[in-house]
Amino acid sequence: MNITVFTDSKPVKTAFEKIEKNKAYSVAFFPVGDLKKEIKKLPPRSLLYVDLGALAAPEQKKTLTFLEKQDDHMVGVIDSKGSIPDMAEAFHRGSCDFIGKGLLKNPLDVKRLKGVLEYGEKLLPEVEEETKTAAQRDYILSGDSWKGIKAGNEYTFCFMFIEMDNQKELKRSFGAQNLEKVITEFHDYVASLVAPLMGKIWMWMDFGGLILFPFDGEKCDVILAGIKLMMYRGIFSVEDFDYDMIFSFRIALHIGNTVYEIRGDTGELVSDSINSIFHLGQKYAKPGNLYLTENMMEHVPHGLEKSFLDDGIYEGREIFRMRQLQ
Amino acid sequence: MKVTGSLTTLATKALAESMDLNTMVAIVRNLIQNYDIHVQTGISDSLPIQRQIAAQQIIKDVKAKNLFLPIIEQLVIIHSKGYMGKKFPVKNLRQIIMQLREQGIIYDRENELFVEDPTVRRTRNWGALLEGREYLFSFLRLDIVGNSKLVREYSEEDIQDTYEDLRLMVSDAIDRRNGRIWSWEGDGGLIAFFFSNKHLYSTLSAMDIVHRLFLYNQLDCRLKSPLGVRLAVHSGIMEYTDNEEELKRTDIIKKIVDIEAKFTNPNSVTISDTVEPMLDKVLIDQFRPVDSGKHSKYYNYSLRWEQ
Repeated sequence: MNITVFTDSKPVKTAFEKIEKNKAYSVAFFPVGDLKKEIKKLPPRSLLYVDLGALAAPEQKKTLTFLEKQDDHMVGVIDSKGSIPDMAEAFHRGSCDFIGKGLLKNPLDVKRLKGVLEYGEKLLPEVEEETKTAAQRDYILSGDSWKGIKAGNEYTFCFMFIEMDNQKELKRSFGAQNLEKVITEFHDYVASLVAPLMGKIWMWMDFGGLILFPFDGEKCDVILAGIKLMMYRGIFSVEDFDYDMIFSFRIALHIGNTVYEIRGDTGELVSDSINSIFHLGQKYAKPGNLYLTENMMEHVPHGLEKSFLDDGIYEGREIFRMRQLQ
Repeated sequence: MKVTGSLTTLATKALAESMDLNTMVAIVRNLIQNYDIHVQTGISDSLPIQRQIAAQQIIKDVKAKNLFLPIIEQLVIIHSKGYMGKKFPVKNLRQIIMQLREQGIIYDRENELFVEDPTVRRTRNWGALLEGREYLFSFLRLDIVGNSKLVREYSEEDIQDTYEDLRLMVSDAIDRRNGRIWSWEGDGGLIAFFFSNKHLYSTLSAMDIVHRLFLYNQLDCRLKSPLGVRLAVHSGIMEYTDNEEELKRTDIIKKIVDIEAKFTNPNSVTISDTVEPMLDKVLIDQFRPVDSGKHSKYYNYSLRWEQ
């Protein structure tokens, strides 16, 4: 069990020494100032302690408000300076433990920690299905950039399938030559949007394509990018294009493995993930909708989980659809 | 803007070497009514004035009245369109424009004005508008809902951080569309658009802010409930002024405040009946009509998740 402690106090670190020595636990310490940065890296249902003792009263309140929103973690509050006037407030705000100045004088013991974990588990939302780790999913993480990715090797990527809707109407209203221009502009627009997120258009057919993003097992910015693409289509269709229409397209997002080959050399690739995402995007997806597979759903930014609806099972995978924006 | 010695010399030469005295005076009278070159130079009416001396005096006078750019704009217009039915090539104009560009000032052909290059600097009047002159503006007004209640309920730090987040969202949305914040009072502000397609840009900026707020409230908001902001877009002709109190008294600003306060729900934007006809149908179709009384037809845009 990993325990993360945010503190700048030496006595706090000392108090955790006994727990650190127990093989069942590992303790990582970070400065309190790194809380917002580091908390994003923690797997769901982690136990973390935050030392609010050295913070000024307004900052204590602010941090408590922030911690209150972390309902997928077990949060304990430490008061190394004895400066928190109302320890009950921490519990009212969903904390599972409070370690005051007095308690820090002696090493914290494992028995107490077990009690905290037992209580903390009860505060967490129920899990319908056991969350699989990246390793359990046979991920071959490709990292957070394209630096280490070599042609011919297999990696885990985030896949984004995107394809324009109303293809027959587009062909009819634009004509072949003009349509090519429209599609090229759409291609370039999508490429410019995904480039800052390390996304590369990997395959492109008539009306859409497949974009690859390196995956480090944690960050999945592609979800927010997909949501923004859907959200902003009414703006960019008017501002960046001059076709007197609002672009409609389908997006499907998935995390999976494939052998990487450079763009243009992908004709002979055989990959379950590639087949899956094409089937999902071309056969299953309805116009103007964004879909996630279950692997991707685990990475939806906190706060946006309810924006996705369970849409059933397709080809053995649970599928989630983003609610339409109206 | 700083008129360098080199620019002064070039502009003086442009006048002196390109036109006669009467044309020079006619041009400057477009900017300074009843301009009298004899009075300005102190040379008697009965004596002729050399073109070089007249040009020096004119440039000196327009500089003193902060009208250097407007006189160059006049020169660009007569150079490209002629004057009194005749072609009128103006010498040194290319060098003048190049030197201005080096100072971060570029020529806007659509409005026939020199303006600041937004990649170099951003000032309230785009480096071009003159106090007291009438222009057509499009405005975006925004106001935080329940500011007083929020200030009572949250710590000063939470409020300051949240309002700063809003300001950053607004700045990012308007900067890319060449808007300028004309007033910002902590709980809201007024943004002006003047160049290019001002009605479109003010409306898109407002929609963009609605989108940013939508995500902010779900991902990053420090407050227990969503931050609510009402937005309105309205346009009209008014005199440019630096004075915020004077600005508030104008009919256009009174109307936009009214639209925002009475016809706009939180986290949505309402556009006025002067803005709506200037926008493409494909954009207006994303708005819903607002019941705004007999004589006005407003439209509103908001975002919400399918239930």
